[in-house]
Amino acid sequence: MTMVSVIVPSIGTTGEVGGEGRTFVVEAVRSVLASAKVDIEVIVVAGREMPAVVADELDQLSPRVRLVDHREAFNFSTVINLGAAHATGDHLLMLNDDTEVISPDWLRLMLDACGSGVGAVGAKLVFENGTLQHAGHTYRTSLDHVGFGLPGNSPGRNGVLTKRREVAGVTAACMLTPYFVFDAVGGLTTRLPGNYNDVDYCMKLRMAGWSIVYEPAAVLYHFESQSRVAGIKPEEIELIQRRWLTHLVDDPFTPAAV
Amino acid sequence: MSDSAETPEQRLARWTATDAALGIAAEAEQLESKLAERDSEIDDLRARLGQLTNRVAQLEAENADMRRVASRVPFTSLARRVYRRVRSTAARRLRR
Repeated sequence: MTMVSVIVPSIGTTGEVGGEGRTFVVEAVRSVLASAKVDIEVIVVAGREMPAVVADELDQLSPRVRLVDHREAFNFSTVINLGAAHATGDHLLMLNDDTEVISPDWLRLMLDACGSGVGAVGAKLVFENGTLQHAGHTYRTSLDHVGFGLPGNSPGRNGVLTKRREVAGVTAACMLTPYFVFDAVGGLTTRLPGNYNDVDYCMKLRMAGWSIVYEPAAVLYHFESQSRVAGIKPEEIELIQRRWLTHLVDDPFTPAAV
Repeated sequence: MSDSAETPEQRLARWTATDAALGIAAEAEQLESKLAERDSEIDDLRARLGQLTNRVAQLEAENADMRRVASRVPFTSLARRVYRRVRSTAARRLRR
C-alpha cells in the first residue's frame, strides 16, 4: 500500500493570512493531515530558529508528525534531503511550510498522476488573492512558472492550465516523487541551496528518462516568500546553465503562449 | 522507502556522491555540445575563408593579366607628350 512521506522544511515563521495571524508550518501540516486520504507521515525538518513552542505544537498535532532537527544554515536541498533520508514512505512529497491545501482530493490525484514512467508531479498553487503562482515550469526563454499571475481559474490557451499534462518541470514547493526515483538521482543538489534546485532535479529526472507531470486538480495556497526572503544568486544561474543550458532552451512542453 | 541497512548519514553521503556524478556528466555533455557548436562554426568560417582565398587568387590572376595587357600598350614618348599637352590645355580651359 502506498505511503507518502510529506517533508516540510520550516523555521516556524509566523505571519498573516486574510488578516489573521498564523504559524505557517502548523497550518500547512494541519491542512495536510485533515485532507490526506492516503497513508502519510509528515516529517518537519526544523531549522535551528524554530521556536520550541512551535515544535511542541507540531508534536501534538498527530503521531504521524515527526520532527527532524537541522542545525546548520538554511539550504533547501540539504533540508529536503535530510527529511527524505529519514522517510519511510514509498513516495516523497516536498511541501513548503507556507502552503495550505484547498482541494480535498489533492494527494490522491497527485498519486494518480504519478504513474509508470513519471518521476515527479506538481500541483496548482495559487496566491492568497487567488492568482496563479504555479502551473508547471517553463524553461524556453527563462526559468519561469507557466501562467504566473493569471486568475487561478484561468484555462490558459487551449485549456492548457486545466489539463493534466507533461511539463518541463514543477516547483519543489509541492512536488510528489517516488522514493526510488529520488534515491536514484541523489535527491536535490545541495549546490543549489535556495533557487533552481527543483529545476535541476526535474532535469536530472528527464535526462534519465522520467517525465514530469502537472496535476491541475490538486490545488493549494502558496503564501510564497512569506516565510523566506527570496533572492537569486548569480552562481545559482551560472550552475543551472552550466549543467542544462541546451536542454533548458529546448523545452518541448512550452506552448507558444498560454 | 529507505533501505533500513543504511543510516540517514550514509544515505545522504551516497546521494551527494550520486548528484556530484550526475552534475559532472551534465556539465561534460554541455561542454561537448558547446564544443560541437564551436567546431561547426570553425568549419563554417574555414569554408568562407576558402571561398575568399579563391576569390583573392582569381582577382590576382586577372590583375596580372591586365598588367600584362597594359604593359603591351605602345605608350611612346611622343604619345606621352601629346597626352600631357592635351591634359594641360584642358586644365587651363577648365580654370577659366
